[in-house]
Amino acid sequence: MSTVEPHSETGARHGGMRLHVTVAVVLTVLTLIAFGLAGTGALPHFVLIPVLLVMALGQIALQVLYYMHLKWDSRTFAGFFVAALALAVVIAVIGKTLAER
Amino acid sequence: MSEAMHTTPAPDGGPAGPPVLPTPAETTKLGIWLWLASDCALFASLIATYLTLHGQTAGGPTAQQLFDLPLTLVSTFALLLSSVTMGVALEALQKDDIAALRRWLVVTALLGAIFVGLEIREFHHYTVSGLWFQRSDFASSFYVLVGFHGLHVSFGIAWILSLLIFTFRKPGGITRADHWRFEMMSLYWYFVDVVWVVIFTVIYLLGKVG
Repeated sequence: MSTVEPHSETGARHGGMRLHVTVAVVLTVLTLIAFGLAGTGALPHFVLIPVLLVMALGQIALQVLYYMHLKWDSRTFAGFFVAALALAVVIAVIGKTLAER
Repeated sequence: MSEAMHTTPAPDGGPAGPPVLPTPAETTKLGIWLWLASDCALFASLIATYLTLHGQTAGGPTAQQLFDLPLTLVSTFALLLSSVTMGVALEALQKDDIAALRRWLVVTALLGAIFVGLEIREFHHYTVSGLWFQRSDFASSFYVLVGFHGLHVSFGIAWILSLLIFTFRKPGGITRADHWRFEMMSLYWYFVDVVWVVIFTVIYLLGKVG
């Protein structure tokens, strides 16, 4: 099976099943590590929080690039998503800042 | 799409031919992405609201006291696995194996239903533990955010089931021209999974570690 095959009326290109399963395995491992770190308290807070956030960003990137096909799709869609994500981060940071006042 | 309206180049390098309009599938895909982007901003607002209010417990239970990480892990795996089965369903569609497509769509919908069922069970547990909706600002913002995501999953299940019915009722059966309908639905399903990654990290994991 090819890893990447051209496809569809919408112009999307899908990764093959092997890639799909590989991404799923990586997501599973990252999820287990995140829950393990949070559940055991193995790291001090100032390390744990950025580690969990970076791992979440990694999971989001994998899903958006490979499952939602942004790796192969039009850059316009990627632009939409990045703009929305940037707005989301700004809103969340404002919320967090307000909470800490 | 998006490279939306193309023109047909003339063979002799002369003036371009008439514009080639985007297909309905391409237009729908643009619409879906705009919808997902706006939904992303909506979830961001709810998460920001939660982050602002999560310390306001009014003497009621806190996130640290209530959150049950093993249950959240099971929910997370149900949704993660549903992304895999959605991929298998789309692979079956590519091979025009409609029986397998139906089978895997059913499995995906069932995994989504397990997720929603666990969420209802979790909400019930929190309610009997003293965290009802109006108990505190923390409770309200938590239920609205997580419940809104649960509604998204429920809508996704309904979308999957409607396409499942479509595979039975479409005169002449499913053809290549119908594939985009399944791709649009899968984009939404994966998006719901992406939002859950943010929720379980920011709300549950960071909430548990305090």
